[in-house]
Amino acid sequence: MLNLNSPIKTPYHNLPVVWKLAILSITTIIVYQLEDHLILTALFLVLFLLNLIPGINFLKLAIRNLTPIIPFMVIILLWHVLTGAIVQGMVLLVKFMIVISLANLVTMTSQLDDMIVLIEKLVKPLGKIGLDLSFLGLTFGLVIRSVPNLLEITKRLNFSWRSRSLKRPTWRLVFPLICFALDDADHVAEAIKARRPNKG
Amino acid sequence: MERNIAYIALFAAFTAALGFIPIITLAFGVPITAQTLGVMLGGCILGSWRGGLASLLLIVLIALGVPLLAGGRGGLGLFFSPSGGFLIGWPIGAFACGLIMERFRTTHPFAISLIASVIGGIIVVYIPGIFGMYLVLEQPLVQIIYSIMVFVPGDLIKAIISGLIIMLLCKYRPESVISRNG
Repeated sequence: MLNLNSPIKTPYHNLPVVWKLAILSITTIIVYQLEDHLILTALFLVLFLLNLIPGINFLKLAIRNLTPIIPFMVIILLWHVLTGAIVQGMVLLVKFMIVISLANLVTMTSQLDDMIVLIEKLVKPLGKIGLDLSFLGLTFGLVIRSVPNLLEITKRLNFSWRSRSLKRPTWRLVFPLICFALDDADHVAEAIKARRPNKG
Repeated sequence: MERNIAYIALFAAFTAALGFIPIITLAFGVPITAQTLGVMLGGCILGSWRGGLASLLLIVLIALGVPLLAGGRGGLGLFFSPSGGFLIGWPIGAFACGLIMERFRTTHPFAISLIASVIGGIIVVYIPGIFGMYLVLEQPLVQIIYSIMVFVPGDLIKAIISGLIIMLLCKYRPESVISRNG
């Protein structure tokens, strides 16, 4: 299944998701208020250690998950270098690194199912005002299962296009892909209706 | 009800899948992906509530750690990065696109979906995006607005593509454009 959860089990996996999210929220608020270089550096080192405790392979995985944000970091640093605020830029980068690595740690050590259960609990009060939220888990599952299917269709459309044209397909694939998605939606609706006859 | 669930889920999946198709490749080889095109199309096809919920569902899954953002990214960390505001803007933008489509059902499909995509998919999405960058980057607002202007031409191309796709859908399978059918 599509997920950024770590296959390496850590002590953090045993912490309740709600605690981890609370720690993340509080840390984020505090970190963005801090300006002291020493405290920020210390927090960064703590985060590094937290990622290192489960082992070097876990740390490597965490770093790999963070690589997509490197271009952003480079742009931010260049921006501050060009505007002559190098120190301010470095402080900002350390703040980002702390917050984003902590958020990444929460993502890597929280099971998707636990997160979904938490969301279902959080939105439960909405049920009292008449919203039917029984389908929430089903909807999450549908998206996760449909993405690989649509990617496979995209691959086939791409292959068909390339076998008939020397030009790259680019946006021209979007129209047939959307037709597939709409047809799929109709089939899925029928299937849900068949499985939930009493839910109207 | 079942149809709504299926359409919302499949459109969230469709938008996620668009993240893996490079739509335009820039001269220096950087591919621009089209997830914002999915946001525009979601609103224009499904209408305000369903389109908005499809984008909301996608960003909730991204926040939960499912790697559905372009390039296989996901997780809570993205929402704390400078681009986090743009992600939050997706459901609002899709809602706005759908609202415009629903208000002008009889207008030419290309014209109205182009307008809806520009307003909802660009202007409305950029507002929380700029605000998020302003909060995180601690830079003057004007400087931030100036710096994101580089993305506008690409997004305008996506709005035109959105208009073309809605026009084709209205021509070949009008029943699919729910926002115009009610």
